Amino acid sequence: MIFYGLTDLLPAITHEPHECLRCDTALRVNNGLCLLCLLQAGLTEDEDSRTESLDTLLSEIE
Amino acid sequence: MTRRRFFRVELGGPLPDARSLEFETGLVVQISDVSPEINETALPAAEAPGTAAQSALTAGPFAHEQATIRAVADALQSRGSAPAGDLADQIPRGSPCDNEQTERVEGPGHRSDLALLNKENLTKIPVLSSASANEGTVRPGAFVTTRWSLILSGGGSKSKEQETRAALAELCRIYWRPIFAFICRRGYSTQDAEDLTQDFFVVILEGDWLQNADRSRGRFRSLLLKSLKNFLNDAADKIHARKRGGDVSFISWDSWIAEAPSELSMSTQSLNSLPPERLFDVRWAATVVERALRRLREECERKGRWRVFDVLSAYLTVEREDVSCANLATKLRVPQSTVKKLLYHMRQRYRWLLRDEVAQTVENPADIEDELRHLCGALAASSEQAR
Repeated sequence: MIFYGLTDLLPAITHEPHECLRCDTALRVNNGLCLLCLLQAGLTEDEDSRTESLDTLLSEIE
Repeated sequence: MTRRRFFRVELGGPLPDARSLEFETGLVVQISDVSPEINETALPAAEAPGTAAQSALTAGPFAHEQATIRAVADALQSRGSAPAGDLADQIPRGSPCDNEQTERVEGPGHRSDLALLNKENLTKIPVLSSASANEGTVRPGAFVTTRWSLILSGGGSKSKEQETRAALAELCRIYWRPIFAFICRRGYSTQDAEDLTQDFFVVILEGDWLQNADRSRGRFRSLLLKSLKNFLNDAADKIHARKRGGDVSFISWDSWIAEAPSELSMSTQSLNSLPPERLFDVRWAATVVERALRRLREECERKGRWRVFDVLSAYLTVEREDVSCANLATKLRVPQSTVKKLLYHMRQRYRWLLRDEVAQTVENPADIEDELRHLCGALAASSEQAR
């Protein structure tokens, strides 16, 4: 089985990340973002989060 | 320019359980209600192109024998990066919708397509996934049919077996990492853990796991973990059987592990202190979050704005007062007001994508909140244990 340098083998995921200043946890994902903070963000449901709002805005950037 | 297209399907047979249909080309049609006869209704005001595939229509018995679904797709969106084209162009050639009975009515600002489907060809509708219909196309809160609810609804039906298995395979493809991590944490060697993960997927995908599983009800995560524990109870026998070269089946999962790797990182202390169940949840949470982030990044990339994601994703959870819009504006070469808007909409969009990912693993939308709280609790507890 080839793992393509995957980070999924357990020793490979240890990087001694710093604790998050907001939640004190030390679990990080992309770009060092705090996993718990990103997950907690989902606990707030928006009234309106249609994709076209962001899409339109992205299209309007010059 | 605002355009609206109508899509009308008459079904001469039992109605599909799925509340949304996705065609091979990516066309998504939401079915919100069913009328026993075609019934024009007032449509909501047209929205900007890119608006979700909105739906129709009037009340009626959902299981009506000769019911008619008249689904209105407003400014239809394609799955993937392709922009929504003309509806007629998106109807797959050779599909039941693309036959001689298709009636196209040109009119000012819209075109109608009418496809008559009989009972025989109803089952040939190339529905790929009702779950992915949610992807960027549905109103907030409208998590109509999720992969897990689809699996649970079709588990006992032969006719829906293929669709159900495809949905199950997709969930396994997404969530193999927590399974692999759990097995490793149980102390198996990497090689044995690989083999056992493979064997477990064989049981799940090719056996009668769903029929035998206690589906009343539980979320996909908890049911999978329970099954995994049971599976490992006689793992030693399985490993020995493999080493003897016994009758071994394989699920091809090379493509799964070749996908974008997870970037989860944690301290050695955390890793060493976590019990397998906790590590499973941490891995699960990371999968959910990373998939939502990936989808957000892809949406930015489709607009040629990867740089926006690159710069602003770091601020998705940062308090507003801690964000220096001036610096970000300089980095992105846009006005500060644009940075504020981008951050606002990116946060909104990320939240929606995250909840959509969770929604795929629970039976009811009402469970999304509980599932998120469970995962948050698991992460917080993991940190406590590491101290």
